[in-house]
Amino acid sequence: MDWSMPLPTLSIDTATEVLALALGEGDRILAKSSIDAGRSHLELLLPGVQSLLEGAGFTVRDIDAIVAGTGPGTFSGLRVGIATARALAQSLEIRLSGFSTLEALALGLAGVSPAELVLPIIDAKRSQVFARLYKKEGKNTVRAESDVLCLDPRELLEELAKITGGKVGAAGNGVLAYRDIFVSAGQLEPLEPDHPGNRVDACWHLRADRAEASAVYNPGRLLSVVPQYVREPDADKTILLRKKEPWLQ
Amino acid sequence: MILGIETSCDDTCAAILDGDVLLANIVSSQTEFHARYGGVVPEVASRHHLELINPVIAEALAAAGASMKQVARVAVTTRPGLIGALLVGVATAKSIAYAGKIELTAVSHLEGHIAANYLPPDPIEPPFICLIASGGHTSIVFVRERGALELLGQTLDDAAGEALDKGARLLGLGYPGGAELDALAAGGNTGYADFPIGLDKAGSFDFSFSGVKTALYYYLRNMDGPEVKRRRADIAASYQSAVVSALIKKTLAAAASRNASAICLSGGVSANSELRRRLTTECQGAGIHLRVPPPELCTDNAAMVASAARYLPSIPFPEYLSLGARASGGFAA
Ligand SMILES: [Zn+2]
Repeated sequence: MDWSMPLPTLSIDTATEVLALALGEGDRILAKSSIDAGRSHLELLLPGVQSLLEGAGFTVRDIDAIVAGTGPGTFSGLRVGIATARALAQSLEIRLSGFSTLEALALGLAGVSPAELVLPIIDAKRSQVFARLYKKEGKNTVRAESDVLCLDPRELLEELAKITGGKVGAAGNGVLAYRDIFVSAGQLEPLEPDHPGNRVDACWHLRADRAEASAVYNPGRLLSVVPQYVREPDADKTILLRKKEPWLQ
Repeated sequence: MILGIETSCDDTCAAILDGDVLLANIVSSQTEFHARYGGVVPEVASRHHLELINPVIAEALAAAGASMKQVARVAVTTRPGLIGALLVGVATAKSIAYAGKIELTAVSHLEGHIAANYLPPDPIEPPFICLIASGGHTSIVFVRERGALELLGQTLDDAAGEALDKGARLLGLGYPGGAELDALAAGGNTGYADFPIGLDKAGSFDFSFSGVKTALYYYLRNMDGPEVKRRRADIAASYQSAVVSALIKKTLAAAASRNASAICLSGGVSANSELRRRLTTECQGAGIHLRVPPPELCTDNAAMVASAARYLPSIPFPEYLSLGARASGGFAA
């Protein structure tokens, strides 16, 4: 077997309201798509995968590896994406790996922002955002300069000011959600609202993942691909078993 | 072979059914994770489902001595239940069907509980009345034939198992306390205290268990500590008897109203010894056949989901790719 042979790889990212999909082979991106899913990740993900593959003349059985975005982002969205990726990998016995959604946004931002530091920001709902500061390195590489943060937008700006006084490029749906706050602070240089860099692009998962492309299927590794929740589960929603009988209306 | 998957509440389940033969039935209970919260936390349940689903499926295949390639159909619970929990199972099931180019069947959790009765040992065929009682549901269903169901009644507030668990908690037992309450009640006098039976009127098969729980609360509040301690078994027996009496009365009345000569139990509460003992006697007296599946098929499991898929239609490719999950909803697709 020739291990340098390019393997068709599918990447999916469901951390935000955008379903980001891409199909690659070696250095080439064969197809990509971006679907506005709202909260319907479960309903739209596999039809999106099927039409992406069909458009490129592939079937799901032609895929040799999967990369799943691990967030952080919407918990349900992440679980749909990762459960789907894992079950496909388990059934097809193909390699699975995870890739940070924040890093994917950072890689996209590094190519378009003049600033040396970039800050991808993902809406975490409940008045918070997920963010991580990255520094540009070589081509298609960034280095993390902070932990993954989960903060109120104003707290994020305070935290950022402690780390650096310089200008920082920013993008992501978290910027769009709190744009006024982020722009008025002056330190951030957000992409324009309609700039595609605000959306997750699954191609970055493929480009950054190439080093691992020759790894083989390993059932134990399925479980190493987990959502980055960052936030603890909310226990106030405890229901003493199921509160009511909501079914059968 | 049918691969069944069930993740509607706090158990992660997978099963392999080959014709009539149940080759594997794996349940990974999360009870210990939820015990410290005193109930099920939906987000905690969803996280655990994602951790457990792939190993549980792998274990089911291994226990069945089968490979994924031998699976001809996937069956999954799509409703009702905790939405975040359901979607882990549905996303997994759809992907397995898609990867294997096989059929998929969407099953209602309650249809699954009923279909547990079609599994060996001693499978039974309709018509029958099915009482589904657990921590999550309390329903009486008339099953005319496989898949042809008539919902006769259900709880309007707490589920029967929930009422038993809450009573156990008021009596200072752990979570989930239904089984402990049952054990404590075994040494007690059911006639010691008088607790109300909810919606105790002819012609209605609906239940209400919030009243009996409140009655127990005030009963205990008005009693002094040492007396409660001394009479705990008697109070437990009286309380449990009130909950169980409601189940028995309405189930028997439902059987009479539909001329059904068989009653089936499903759901975790069917393990309750008082319910089993009294219903056995009552059914014998009335000439009704009583069927209780083994405990592992009464509580939530995926074998029942696979069983339902044997008579429910499958969804063709590519329609099932867009299948969703629903928190509420009944038997119908
Ligand atoms: Zn159940």
